[in-house]
Amino acid sequence: MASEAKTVEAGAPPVYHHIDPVNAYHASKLGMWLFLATEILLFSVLFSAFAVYNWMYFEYFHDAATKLDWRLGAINTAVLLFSSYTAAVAVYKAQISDNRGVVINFGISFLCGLIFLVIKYIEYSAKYEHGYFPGTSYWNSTEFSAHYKNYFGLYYTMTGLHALHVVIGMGVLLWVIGLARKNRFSSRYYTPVELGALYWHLVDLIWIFLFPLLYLID
Amino acid sequence: MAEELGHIIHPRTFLKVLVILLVLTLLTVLLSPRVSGEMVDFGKINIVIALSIAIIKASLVLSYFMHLKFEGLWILVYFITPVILLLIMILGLFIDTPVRIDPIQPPF
Repeated sequence: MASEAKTVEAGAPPVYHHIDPVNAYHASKLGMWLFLATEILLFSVLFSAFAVYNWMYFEYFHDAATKLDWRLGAINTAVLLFSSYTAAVAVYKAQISDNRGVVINFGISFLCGLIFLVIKYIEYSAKYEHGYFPGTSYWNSTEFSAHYKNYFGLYYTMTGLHALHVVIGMGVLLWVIGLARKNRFSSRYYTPVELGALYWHLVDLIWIFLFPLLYLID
Repeated sequence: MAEELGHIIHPRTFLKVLVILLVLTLLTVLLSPRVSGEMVDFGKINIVIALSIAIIKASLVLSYFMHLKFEGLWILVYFITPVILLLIMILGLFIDTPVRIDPIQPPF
């Protein structure tokens, strides 16, 4: 491989054969938005299911939703909003060729993602202790109405799929942080920073709707 | 190189947007009957208020954090298409479900 080794100028865009770097940037961003469109559709199915079941079992859902702690949900909302802010700042830092700024701001977003997951774990384990978790003896008993299971089933599916997105987003952030530590980005090339931030904002966007629907609506 | 790849938004703008988002979050929490102990209760409009605030918050995140306000036509088309599909699905469900299914009343 030694003969292949070439010195890449720091912050220079990768060399493509058939497309110039500016076109590559715009094409990548368009592709990312297409992917985000499919993500919106993925979650819209769950939101639709929630709308129908909320209509059918309104009294049960009303009752089951009071079992959630809105304080933890509100804290998680603030954490995600703040992490979205630092992700947006990271894109600005990349645009002004400040790789250190990208590392710091994406690092804060990463930590916020970690805080979010820890709070989510606290919420889930509280549900487990109260027996609102699939497999616990209270959940399996006849006292626990099947209609409550509809609510908690949707709750675990929606927040679980969202948490999976948080984990994947944290992986993306970590990868971009690694590139930024090698000074790979500049005002001429910051596609991974912007696309990574777009993914992280999508995670925030979904939570903006999950929080009032699951925790607040009566 | 003077040419910019994408639109640059200054972090000051992001900070303003963050403050507005946090204020709106506080508002949606305070307007919830579950939080206020039914002191603030608009009945059936609760869900409309909560979702309107969520839509305002989402538009702020999309326009500024995600730079959508400054993107070209194609990215807008790519974003708006799934939103239209989502609205069709939700509207279809809202028209269909109430005429076919009655809410199930609990025994209590």
